Amino acid sequence: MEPNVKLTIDGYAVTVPVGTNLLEAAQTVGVEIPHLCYLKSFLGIGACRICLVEIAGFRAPVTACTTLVQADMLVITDSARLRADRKFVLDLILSVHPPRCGQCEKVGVCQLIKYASKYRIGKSTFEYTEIGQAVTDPNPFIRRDMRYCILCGKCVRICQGQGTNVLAFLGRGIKLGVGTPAASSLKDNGCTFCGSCVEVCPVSALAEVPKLGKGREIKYTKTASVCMQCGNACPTQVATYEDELVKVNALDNADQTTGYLCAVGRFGFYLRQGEKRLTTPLKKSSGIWQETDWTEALTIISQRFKKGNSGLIATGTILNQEVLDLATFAQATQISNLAGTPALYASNEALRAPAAQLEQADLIILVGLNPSQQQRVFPALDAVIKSRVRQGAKLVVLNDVATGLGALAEVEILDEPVMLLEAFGRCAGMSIPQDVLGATTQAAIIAKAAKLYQAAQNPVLLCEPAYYQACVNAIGNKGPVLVMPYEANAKGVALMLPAPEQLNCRELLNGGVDTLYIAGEMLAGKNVQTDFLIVQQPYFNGVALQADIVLPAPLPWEKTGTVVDWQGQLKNLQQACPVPPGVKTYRQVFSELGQMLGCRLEWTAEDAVIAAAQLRPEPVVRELSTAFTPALSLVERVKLLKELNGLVARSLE
Amino acid sequence: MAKLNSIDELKNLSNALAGEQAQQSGSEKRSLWVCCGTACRAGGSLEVAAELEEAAEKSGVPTEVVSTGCLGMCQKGPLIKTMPEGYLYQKVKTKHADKIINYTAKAGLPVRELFYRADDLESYYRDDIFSGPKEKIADLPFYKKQQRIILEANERIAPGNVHHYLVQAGYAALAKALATMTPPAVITEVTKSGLRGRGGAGFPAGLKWQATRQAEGEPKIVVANGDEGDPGAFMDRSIMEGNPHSLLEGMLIAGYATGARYGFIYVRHEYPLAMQNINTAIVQACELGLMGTNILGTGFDFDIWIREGAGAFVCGEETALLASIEGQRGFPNPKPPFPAERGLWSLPTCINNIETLVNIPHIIRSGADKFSAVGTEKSKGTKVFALAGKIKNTGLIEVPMGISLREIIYDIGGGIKNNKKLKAVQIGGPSGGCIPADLIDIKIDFDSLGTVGAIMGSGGIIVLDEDDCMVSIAKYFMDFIQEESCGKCPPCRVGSYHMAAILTRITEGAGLVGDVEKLEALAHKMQESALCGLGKTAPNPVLSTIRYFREEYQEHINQQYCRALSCRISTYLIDTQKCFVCGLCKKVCPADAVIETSDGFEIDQDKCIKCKVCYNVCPIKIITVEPGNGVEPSSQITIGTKGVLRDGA
Ligand SMILES: Cc1cc2nc3c(=O)[nH]c(=O)nc-3n(C[C@H](O)[C@H](O)[C@H](O)COP(=O)(O)O)c2cc1C
Ligand code: SF4
Ligand code: SF4
Ligand code: SF4
Ligand code: FES
Repeated sequence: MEPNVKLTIDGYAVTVPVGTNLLEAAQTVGVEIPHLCYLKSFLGIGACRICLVEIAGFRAPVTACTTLVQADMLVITDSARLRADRKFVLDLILSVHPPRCGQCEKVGVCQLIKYASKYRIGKSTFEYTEIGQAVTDPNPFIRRDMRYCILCGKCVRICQGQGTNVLAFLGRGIKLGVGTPAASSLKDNGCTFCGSCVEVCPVSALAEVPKLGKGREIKYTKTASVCMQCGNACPTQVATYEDELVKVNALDNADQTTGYLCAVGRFGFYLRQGEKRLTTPLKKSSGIWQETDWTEALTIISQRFKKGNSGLIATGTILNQEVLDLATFAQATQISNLAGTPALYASNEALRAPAAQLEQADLIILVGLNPSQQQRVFPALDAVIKSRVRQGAKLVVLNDVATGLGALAEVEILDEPVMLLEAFGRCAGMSIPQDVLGATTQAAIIAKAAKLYQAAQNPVLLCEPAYYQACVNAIGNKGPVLVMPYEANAKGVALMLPAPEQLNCRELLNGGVDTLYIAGEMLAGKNVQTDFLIVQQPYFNGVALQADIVLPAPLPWEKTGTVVDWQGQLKNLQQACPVPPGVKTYRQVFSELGQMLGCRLEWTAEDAVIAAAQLRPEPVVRELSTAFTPALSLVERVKLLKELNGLVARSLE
Repeated sequence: MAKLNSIDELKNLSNALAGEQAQQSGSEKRSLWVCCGTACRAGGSLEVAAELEEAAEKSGVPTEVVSTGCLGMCQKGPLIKTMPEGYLYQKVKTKHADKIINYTAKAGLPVRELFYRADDLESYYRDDIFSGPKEKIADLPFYKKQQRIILEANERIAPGNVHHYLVQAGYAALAKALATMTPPAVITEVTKSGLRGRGGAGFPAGLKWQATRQAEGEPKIVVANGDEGDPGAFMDRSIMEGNPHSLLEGMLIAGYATGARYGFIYVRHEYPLAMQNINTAIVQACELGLMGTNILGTGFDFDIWIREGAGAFVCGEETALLASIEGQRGFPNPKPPFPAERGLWSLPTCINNIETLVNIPHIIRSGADKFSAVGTEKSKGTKVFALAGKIKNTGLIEVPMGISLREIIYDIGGGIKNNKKLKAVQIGGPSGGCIPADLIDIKIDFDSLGTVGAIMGSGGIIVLDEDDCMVSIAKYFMDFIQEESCGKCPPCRVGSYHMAAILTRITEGAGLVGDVEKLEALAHKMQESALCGLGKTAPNPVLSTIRYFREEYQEHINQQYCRALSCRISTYLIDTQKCFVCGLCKKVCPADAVIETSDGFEIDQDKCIKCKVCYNVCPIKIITVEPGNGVEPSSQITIGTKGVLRDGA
């Protein structure tokens, strides 16, 4: 823990850790210092000059975002002089910012207008000069209009900070701008359309295309949700306007891992509008798909279940409560074959490992994972690791192929991970002689990695699920081992479900039962062998195409519930949009099926979910011998994530 | 070159070289020191040097032709100094080579037509006609009042020849520091000398070194600021080009004193020759063991690297410069933290100007007392200036602090050109101010300049005469700032844009009542709120011209009249009564605006572009310039900024 500093801000006694800047120190006592260019978790740059404050003993005002607290500082954040300074700067900014707030959709959430009205500036006292221009770069995601840009540089810094490096400052003086060289397209500059830049833009220079023409953002209803598209389970904020989903952005929440969303998370809702959303059950008879009504569909299903030898599968894309509901249904109807898809790629120990946080890590050891924003393989993880490294954490990469993050790593060792981990484990327990550290043999490099591990306060091992056991064996008990699953609620499924009584997931999918029901989107590409397949999911795609009956399901933002993310944290989703007519929730389906099967279902209460999410085994001890071989090959697993990539790529053509 | 393993080995080598040189000067062989600074090169000095070598070879006269750095009197280049006689030849062309060899190199006789003579007849009659042309540097009025502690060595050193430097007691200061002084003792000596930074702000060098020494973090770094972006300035260039080893020595001593391990020299992008000469010097210093590890066997380690500037004025600002070295865009950062605490790659960094650093060897070698004997109470030593503008002798000068502006202009500069009247002196470039003619008895030092609204700056002096419009001067600098503002902060990016727009409209005769007050208000607020020194000081030229020449602004605005006749806003009229119809004006007018009528010549006001050509050409000076531009005020077009800046909260 950093030692604390005591100071006084506007008369309030403030105690904050050493190294805190005045802007954040003031926030701890509820004093809001105006700011336009400050970007949380980045060093202050002092560009916008709005956050000027006075400090006793200083001749001139200083910028709060760049000034670190010092013991006994006496800070004043509001005075006639400061108001005059801020007014002056705002007046100048406004003199080159289009005076068309009346037509602007950002009014209400625009930071510039917020301060302009705070300081009572209706219109600039200078004649407006148009600087910059709207950028012609047709794409379905980001609209750039540089006439509105106030040059806070946040977009540039966030893009560089997360390692995508697409945007830059160009020109100087009044012609300074941000963007891409010679107004070339974002796509040609390697943009992943993550939209981080849009997220941080305080004005309407950058905007999400999907929300254009959908009214002022201030009127949107905002709801917390979670992106269920990959194992990262990024927290999101879903904005609706008249019950229509218009915008998704990253949830800015201090105790969440990341403020990052990839293009799929941010714009996926919009891109998938073209896909076939299920709003009525479908059945296949003699190879032909037909629409049917719920009564008929559920009747057919209940009849299949009555025959016995049935199985139920929960995918990692449904919520905890839904998993528990499925378990309740299984118990009541005595269908004893119940399993979760996460078991296809991760052991139960790995999925039920204790929670941990990458945010606090000072050393990240990345094993067998190759996150990449460009390849869209765990893009958010790539962004988080990059920003952690930028903030000073060290990175060690163990992998059998070169990784995109290798360039940032203190040590990157390329070889078979299990073997490396064994060698690493031997070194990590020993004291390593200095001369070995200078050498360049692989043994020495491993020793160097081990040395970093020894020196670290909070090391975190982050691995591909298949290497969990090897990791645990290698490092003993210092620092957690976190697996990165492929589905958003993989850990939740593992925690909610009892261990399979009879057949496991792989056996269920490989013809172990005659009737199989799958809740949620199954990992695509898996060939299911069963007599009769029932799939309930939002879209008509993937495994649904192999099914005999397909049931519509709600999308994540149409439900309320929780998931357990890859770090073991419980995350909430709130329903933002109504469930469309014709779609039934999982619980409704189980309830109606239960009735048809003559069973009474008693739903587990919400606190049972929380209890189950916290139900953790003791930390696993070293030398646990049960090896785990995933049912899917690594190539297959990674392919699942890239599948979504196509969605984005296609939309750019 | 053999590596020197101890301080004694360095001393022995220097002594041996000095002996050799003494022997040589006793011999028949003469040497010709050809100035090969950038200005003389542009005048053809390299060709002259080549021609001299060829001529010497042809005639078999043993001659040493040496290329030196800038000798200062650039306006009269290419310059040659001959040894041992010490003649100074000016404006030497290749055609003079044979004669120089045959007269001077062979027999020690002067080539008289190459001696310095006043350019204008008046001074010629006054001074030269009785005393004859000036033969030696010491005789020249240009050099007489100078005190050249730093620049003089340029006369004796070929930049590529480390032996020349060693003969001039080169690296003796380093040896002294390493052998006899602790690092704190070096800092004490520098503090005692009263040396203040020559990069502009005049911060005491000793304090900066002390702060760097005390800051936490390893390794520490010394940076030499050679970005020199002020328009017209070339003081640091002449040092870097002409005497690079003195810079290295100053940095080595700074490194030793502050406890630094690495040094960086940031050289302006437009200075390839400086870069080349410093490079050569670094290689030589490394070979001699004067740089690298275990320097002169004393255990002191120091390495110096060159970085090429990014080609932007703002990169001279220290925090922007450091960002640029780090490979980032050259944006300034707020201070504190000062570079001494968190500089290059967040390490404690001592950043000094080139001239500051080359003063160091003198201070260490001769002692702080000797250095501080020159100058005023709070500004010690000498200062190098680039003298330019409407003055007879322009060039590079080094003068003691406390010299008056009058001495600089009239004694060194030889007075105003073409019998015009002195109007003002601009000092300090875009961050500086204009000192009006009636204040030129001011003694120049850091503090006195501040009191009259100028600054020392990095050392540009521009002399202005009655033909210079003060509003245009302010506009010139504001346009420069507007081009060079990095754009990071709104006060400078947008503020300078509006200021330039207001100044433009004033010089175009479209100024509005209240514009001067608006400029003042804008200026004060910019000073208060801009991020870096560039924006904070950019309003100075405007404020100082308003302070001393407010009525010129008012004339532009209220009467459309520019008394310097440089803004094209007034009305040109021919006094037909007095005109004797020679027709010269009609002949020269580029706009065909002079028309012949039965009464004589008249100017068509619609066509006149107010270029002043007719006014200059009229032999009997009867063309007058009247206030007003003939355009009704109501139909004036307003360019750019309008509106009133309201004061306060
Ligand atoms: C806009 C701007 C330009 C500057 N340009 C230079 C320069 O070209 N050379 C220089 O030595 N200092 C320049 N400075 C001053 C430096 O920031 C810094 O103060 C100086 O290098 C410190 O050295 P000194 O203490 O030896 O003077 C500039 C400052 C500003 C604000
Ligand atoms: S969308 Fe993402 S990658 Fe593209 S420019 Fe913006 S921040 Fe950079
Ligand atoms: S586009 Fe937006 S975020 Fe980027 S610099 Fe301009 S105002 Fe700031
Ligand atoms: S004052 Fe000018 S040069 Fe300095 S940071 Fe601001 S915009 Fe850039
Ligand atoms: S927030 Fe501090 S200068 Fe912009």
